[in-house]
Amino acid sequence: MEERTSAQPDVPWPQSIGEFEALIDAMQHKLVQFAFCRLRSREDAEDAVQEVLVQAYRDREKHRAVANAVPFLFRMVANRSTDVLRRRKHEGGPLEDCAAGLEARGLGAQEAAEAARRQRWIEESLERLPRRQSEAIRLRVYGELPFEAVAQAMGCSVPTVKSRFRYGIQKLRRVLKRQGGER
Amino acid sequence: MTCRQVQERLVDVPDMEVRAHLAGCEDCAREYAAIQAVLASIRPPARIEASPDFKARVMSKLTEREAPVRRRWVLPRLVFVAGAVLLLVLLAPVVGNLIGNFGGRGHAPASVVSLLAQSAQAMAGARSVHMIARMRTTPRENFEFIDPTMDWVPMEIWSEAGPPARWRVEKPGRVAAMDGTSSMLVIKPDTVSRGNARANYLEWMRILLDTDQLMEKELELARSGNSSASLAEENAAGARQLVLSVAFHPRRWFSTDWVMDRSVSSSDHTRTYRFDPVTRRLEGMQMVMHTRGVDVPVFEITEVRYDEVFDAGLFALAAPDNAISYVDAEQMPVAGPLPQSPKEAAVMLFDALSREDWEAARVVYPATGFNESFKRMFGGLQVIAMGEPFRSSFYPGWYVPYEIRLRSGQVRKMNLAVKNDNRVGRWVWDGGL
Repeated sequence: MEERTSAQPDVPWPQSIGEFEALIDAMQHKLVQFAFCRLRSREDAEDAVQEVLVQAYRDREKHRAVANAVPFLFRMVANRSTDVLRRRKHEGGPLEDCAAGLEARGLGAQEAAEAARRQRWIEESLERLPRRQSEAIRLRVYGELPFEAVAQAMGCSVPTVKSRFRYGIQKLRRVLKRQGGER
Repeated sequence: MTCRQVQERLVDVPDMEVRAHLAGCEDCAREYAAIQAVLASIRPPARIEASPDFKARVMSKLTEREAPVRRRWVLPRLVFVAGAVLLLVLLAPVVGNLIGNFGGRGHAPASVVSLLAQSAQAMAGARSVHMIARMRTTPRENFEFIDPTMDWVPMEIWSEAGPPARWRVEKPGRVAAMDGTSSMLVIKPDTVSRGNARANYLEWMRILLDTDQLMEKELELARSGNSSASLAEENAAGARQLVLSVAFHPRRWFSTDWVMDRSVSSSDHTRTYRFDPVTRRLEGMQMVMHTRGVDVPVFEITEVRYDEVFDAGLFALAAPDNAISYVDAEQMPVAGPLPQSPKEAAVMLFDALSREDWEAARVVYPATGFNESFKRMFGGLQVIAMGEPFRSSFYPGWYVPYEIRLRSGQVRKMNLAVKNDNRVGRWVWDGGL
């Protein structure tokens, strides 16, 4: 798989409005995409990322020593997404405008509906895995983070995160086979 | 390379060594292809981007004031009591014996005990708890110190379930952390104290580290007669909340009220905890001090976050360069006779400071040295008057009234705290400069 972010330099936690603006420029699409894969709603994804970014700025002093803010932002978005899903489950609201979100992105209606159906299927498959394994896979695949950054986000070592990822993929294979083949 | 070694590396982008193995090993090549197929099947089917106005929306939020505390609970006490009674009457048919109200040496209703068990279980399931809080205090004072006349000082509390359990508590001028085996306190900029995992750097605030036991501990306090507690369900902004109120009435020992309203343990106050009625997790807390007929909020937990992943470094404090360390009484130097009473300790300390004899000052002051700002402030001071020592409330030591003139000309009139509750019974400075 491609290492799309591994060559990127570390991004220190922004301490000024200017640095923060640069961070949004660099990260907004990746973070929204990451949240969208899980939440399947553009509105919820943007709200979650907005809350995380605002919180990241308000807490900037406490994170001053963080060498690379990127993994932590993904982790914060993952946590916020979990909260949203929990609240959604509690409130019973399905709120799935995934297809609409994708149409807004420029896909045709049929194409968007198929992509939405597929994303839902991916998430349902991942939800069958142990939480830490699915977290590692989401950060790696949805977030396109290198293993070093996934390890930072999850607060564990690189070998541990690779091991979680590998076991997760193995279990996913079994899940997919039970569901009728690796689609 | 063995097949096992290669298969452990198949989730990585294959390097030359792995590629060479795959070229000659059918089993590993098949495994690699299967992994790639799974990865391809879960790759997001479409990419989405943030809306064009997303950045502008985020930036506009930055300049907004931070959200105020969710609810303001400060009510005149009479209204509070009347409201609580009304609430009991209104909710009684709905929640039945869920509501408990007891104090003194009573017994909690069985339903309340059951509820507490559920809450403890819910919070014990949390891997970590992160509290955002604020306190009316000074940045560098101990974590027990509150002052209703002060502005809010931000605080944060992180705790991680074990084993080993770890925690960190921080405000702008003081941070304490326990990394599982030892703890450290840093008083900024350069003073440090080291202790074991049980070192009591947090005083009252320690109760907040064990959120799973919080409700039980509070109600245990009520049973022992040190406070009275009530449990109720409330509706706030359309959401149900489980509210535990603990009215704390400190014992008024000794002859003066010097420490009254200066610390959590010595102030008359009400602690109100809000719990999610479904998850049973703590959502927030407010402490309102009742002082001179006025109710003043002095401590608030405005946000509680569960199951965050903390960086391992969060719990490992590094001592600042050239740090000055607090030391135990038995490690302090002995240069001549030691003070035999609280007043003698105060006299010896002020005498040493007035002469700028820093080694002599360390006979009473339990630290490895003094920083330059301390020396500039207290070096060469003049003693104007010394009073008779007194005790107050729960504090194990004595207070010695003093009036001094600093080299800057400023006159300071306060009480020096000294105590000898250490293993060698030595009188040492404990605060009040």
